[in-house]
Amino acid sequence: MAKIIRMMCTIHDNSLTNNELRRIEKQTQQLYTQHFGRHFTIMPIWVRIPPGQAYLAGKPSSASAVVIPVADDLDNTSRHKFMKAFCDNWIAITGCNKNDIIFNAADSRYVNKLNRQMLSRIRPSIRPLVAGKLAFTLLMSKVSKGYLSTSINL
Amino acid sequence: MPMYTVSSHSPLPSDTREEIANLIMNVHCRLTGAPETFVNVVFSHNVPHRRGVKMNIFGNVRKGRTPEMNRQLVDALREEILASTKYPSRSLELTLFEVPASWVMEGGEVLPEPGEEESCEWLNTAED
Repeated sequence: MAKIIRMMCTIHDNSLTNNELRRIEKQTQQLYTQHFGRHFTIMPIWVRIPPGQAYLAGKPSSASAVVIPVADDLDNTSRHKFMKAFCDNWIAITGCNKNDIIFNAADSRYVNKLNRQMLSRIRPSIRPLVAGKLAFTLLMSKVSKGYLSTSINL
Repeated sequence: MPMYTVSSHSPLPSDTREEIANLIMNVHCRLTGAPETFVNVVFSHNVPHRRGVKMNIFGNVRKGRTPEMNRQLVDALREEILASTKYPSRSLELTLFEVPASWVMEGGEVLPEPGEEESCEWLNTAED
């Protein structure tokens, strides 16, 4: 059974078309398979940032940020080849400037720790409710748009 | 990178967001020597924090600085953000999370280790 790899893409509202999203999803799956084998299924989650909620160097930002877990302790040669291929692919599909894509190919255990840290911001008694709401939002977007999407605002 | 996520229960006014983004950038760059072009700040609201907490700041920063440097960074960020927002001390949570620079690509290049920014071709081009 294929291992699910969650790809977290933080993008600006309306910065990508549905067609671009689908192409990125499809080609990232292909890239991951080429670099790391067939035993993985990429699950992209698109986190939208409304206008005015992101800054780079103190000015409004248009950069997208993507985190994809890779095998723990992956050597940097393999990691960097994948990172380069991913960014080249993103730029080719979206036509964005190379400064507008920030890509983190992190060890899986780091990503798990990161997710736990992000979750720890939320009051413990409300976490199940927030998780349920998030799951519902993702499911609804999958049904209505064909991809998993939510807002950076909970 | 760094990528700071500022979360709050209510949406912050746009001038407050801008002020906090600049404040974070200034403190981060002053203490670490990192270039401004590296500093990302995103804002998220409707986040139900623990009781008494009004703002949470989660900073993804490059690994490789000393614990003392990171402690100074946390302390300075806390001090300046509290002074700016007038929040009581316990209402601000601030955490740094370190990520190896070699795992991150920005501007088409793998990020340099802290202190090795001069080797970053992208950065030199971006600042022209």
